[in-house]
Amino acid sequence: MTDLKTSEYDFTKIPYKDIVRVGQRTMLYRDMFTVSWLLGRYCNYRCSYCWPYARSDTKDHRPTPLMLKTVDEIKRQARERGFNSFHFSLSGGEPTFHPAYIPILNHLNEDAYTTNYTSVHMTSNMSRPIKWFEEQYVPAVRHFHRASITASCHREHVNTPEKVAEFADKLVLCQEYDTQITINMVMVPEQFYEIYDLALYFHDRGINVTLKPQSDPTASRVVDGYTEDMYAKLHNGMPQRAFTEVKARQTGLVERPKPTYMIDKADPLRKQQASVAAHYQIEFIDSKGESWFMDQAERFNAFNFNNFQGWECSSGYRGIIIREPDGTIKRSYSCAEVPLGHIETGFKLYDKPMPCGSKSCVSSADSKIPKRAPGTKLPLFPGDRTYD
Amino acid sequence: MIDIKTLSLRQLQLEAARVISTMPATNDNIYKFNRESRHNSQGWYIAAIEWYIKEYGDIPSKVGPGRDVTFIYQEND
Repeated sequence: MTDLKTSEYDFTKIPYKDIVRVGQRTMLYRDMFTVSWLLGRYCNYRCSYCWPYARSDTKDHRPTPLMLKTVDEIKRQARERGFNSFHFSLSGGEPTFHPAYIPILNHLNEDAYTTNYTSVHMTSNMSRPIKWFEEQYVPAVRHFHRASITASCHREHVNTPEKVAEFADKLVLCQEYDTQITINMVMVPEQFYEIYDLALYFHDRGINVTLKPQSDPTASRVVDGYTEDMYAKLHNGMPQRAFTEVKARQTGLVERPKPTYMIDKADPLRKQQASVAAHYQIEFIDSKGESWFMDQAERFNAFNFNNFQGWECSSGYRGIIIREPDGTIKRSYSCAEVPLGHIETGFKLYDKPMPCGSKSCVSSADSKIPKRAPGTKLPLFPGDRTYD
Repeated sequence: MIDIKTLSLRQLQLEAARVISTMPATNDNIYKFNRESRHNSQGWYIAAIEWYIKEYGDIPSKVGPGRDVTFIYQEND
């Protein structure tokens, strides 16, 4: 491997117009149920570029017992449908300020041993002091099968070399406790190379960076202003590496339990793909049956691969989102359909994968959920025969 | 009629939940509440409740379909 900052797998070669099935591999081949939960919009940062309804100055945290009841109901319905591996992705606002944040982790912990796999993720601005991560966060996530953080580096607040170093220090600490890390950087065209230099600093400290194109205020398209060189970096720059594995192995501070996923042992595609490196999280199948891979779904928008209207999507059946301040429980964020329910009144999952009715699917939390083009006879989860 | 700006955070959440649970709460339909509540979740609840009051004449717990909504958790549970 010559240049670690550019992928050797060329994502521009993927025949996006000819893809008939796409999804996160951990969902395609395992009994994984995903929950993307926006705990509240309250955030302690006030970034000038933050969308008006993406964050709140006023508190909007719902009671902890309600949050824990919701966790239990999600698991009950998921298990009823055959899913007993779980991925909970907690975001905000700033999720670490929700009073229920650590209680939710502890509640999940208490039941993790009855699941085949439990993974927890958070998207955070990492503004809590390093002591909070050491004393609260790390102990709360150390017994899960996997823990991960997407760290948002907001340069209006992380605005001195000292603060940048401190931001990285917290992430390195979490890596040493076997927490997977990636830093999200929105590559604003006007400041592209300045942001890229900062990304290189993090990359050199052994932290993965995701370069994201900037979306317009309605999150429906990528903004104008990117040059060819910028697009090249967005398409193939900063591929994800196994930085956490190396650091966690060196420290030996955390030993995670072994997953016992339910898989379809006979699935020929699963067998073929078993040797592909795990950091290629996304798999595509084209109409000729050929497989293609990508490190993460965050790149989809850079290729305008985000229109799945009419496809059969497993969101709402094997994955949900919970959004605030409206409190709705939906199949995915971008979905045009009416919600599955409300956090205060309850919800009901679909009984099978359903067609997508939305014009665009711009959130990576949505687009990575396994889906197939109309008429495609390929499974979306182990044992799936719903295409018959 | 009650001045909704005097309601507690929890009361606002429950009244707004009655609103959202009794309308087709698609992204397009609830976007109007986003527009009226910049960086303010409690303003969002108030915008939703005010819309309901215009539709039905009073807050959701007092009038209209909102009265029939039941919650899975209340503080005295």
